[in-house]
Amino acid sequence: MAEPNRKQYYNRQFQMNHCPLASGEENVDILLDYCNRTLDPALVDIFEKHMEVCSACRAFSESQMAVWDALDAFEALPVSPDFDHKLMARIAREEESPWRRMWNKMTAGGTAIWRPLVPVAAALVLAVGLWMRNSGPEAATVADSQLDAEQVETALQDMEMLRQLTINEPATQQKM
Amino acid sequence: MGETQPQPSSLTGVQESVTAALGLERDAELMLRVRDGCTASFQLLLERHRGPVVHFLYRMVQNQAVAEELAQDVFLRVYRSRATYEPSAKFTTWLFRIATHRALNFIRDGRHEKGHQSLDDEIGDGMARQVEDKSSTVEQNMLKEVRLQEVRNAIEALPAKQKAAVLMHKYQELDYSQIAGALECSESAVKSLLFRAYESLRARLAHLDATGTKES
Ligand SMILES: [Zn+2]
Repeated sequence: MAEPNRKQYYNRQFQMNHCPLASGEENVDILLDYCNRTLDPALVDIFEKHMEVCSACRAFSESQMAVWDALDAFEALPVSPDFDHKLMARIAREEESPWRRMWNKMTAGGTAIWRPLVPVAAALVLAVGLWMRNSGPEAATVADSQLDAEQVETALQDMEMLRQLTINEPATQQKM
Repeated sequence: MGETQPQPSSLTGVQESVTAALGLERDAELMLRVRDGCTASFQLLLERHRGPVVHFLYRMVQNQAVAEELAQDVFLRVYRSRATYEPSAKFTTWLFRIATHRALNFIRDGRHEKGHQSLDDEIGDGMARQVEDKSSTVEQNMLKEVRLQEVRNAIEALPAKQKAAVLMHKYQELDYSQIAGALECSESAVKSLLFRAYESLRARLAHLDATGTKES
């Protein structure tokens, strides 16, 4: 990732009263972060002292570090040079469609007052699309409206994902 | 188009301080500009995230052409959602949530297995590109290939959700809360997924030493 964001996670308070391996999966991050060499240095000292007397954590760390290094062999391949060009061409094609223009107009401006009405607008676009598909004689527009109905549907799904994320994120952060 | 060159940001110093004062992450700021019709900002977002998204999808489906196809869908969906975008969740988490959805759907629909036979050539080609090192001996390259194949097989054998968690953790360096957001589960569930996934990987891969040879 461009900006690894692990650092802030390591400020968590950690007591080594119990073996992290024996105290459930909730503490497995201590072991994983140690093996990934991303554990807070203060915690590293505590954990290394614990490992002097805990053979289970020692064995876990040895094999986990070996796996961590082994996984480095699976390198990614370079992205095709025409990736952006293809994507921008797809976007340009899509933007030309009358359905997309209608959708863009309905959601344009980003004004907050409109946003709750976007699902209604989407339903309207879908309904008009379906009506046109059933009544229109041109075979070519059938494929277009199917495509656009799909696009509107996926846009709605993505908005829903973002909405759920917004609701869930504060809860997730509290757990840290 | 070649690998696109990074373009200078269109943000002025003043705008950057306003962004910082509002606590908006850079990606969110760019996405808001895309919402307002700035195509250059979308290009910047693409430059920042194209690699990580394609690489994640490549390791998920183990096929470069399919990974790029899926990544195109991901960025298209981001673009389509621009009008309703609100910077309320971390952009990376949202992006990887869409990418994970696409990959899991692809695997669930069985297109992965159906295409497997015809993908063998592509996989072989990818392997050759990864292990080919002119400074190494033939034997060293063969050892690397064996090691790489073992790693790929071990990852491929993981259940899809465990695989996604490991890939985001190991290669994309997402933190536990981001992985939880992308997989739509709690952080505890992520830790459990990672624990089980690494357990399987340790069983299959811990015998490989750092040089790629098998320990006796
Ligand atoms: Zn222990």
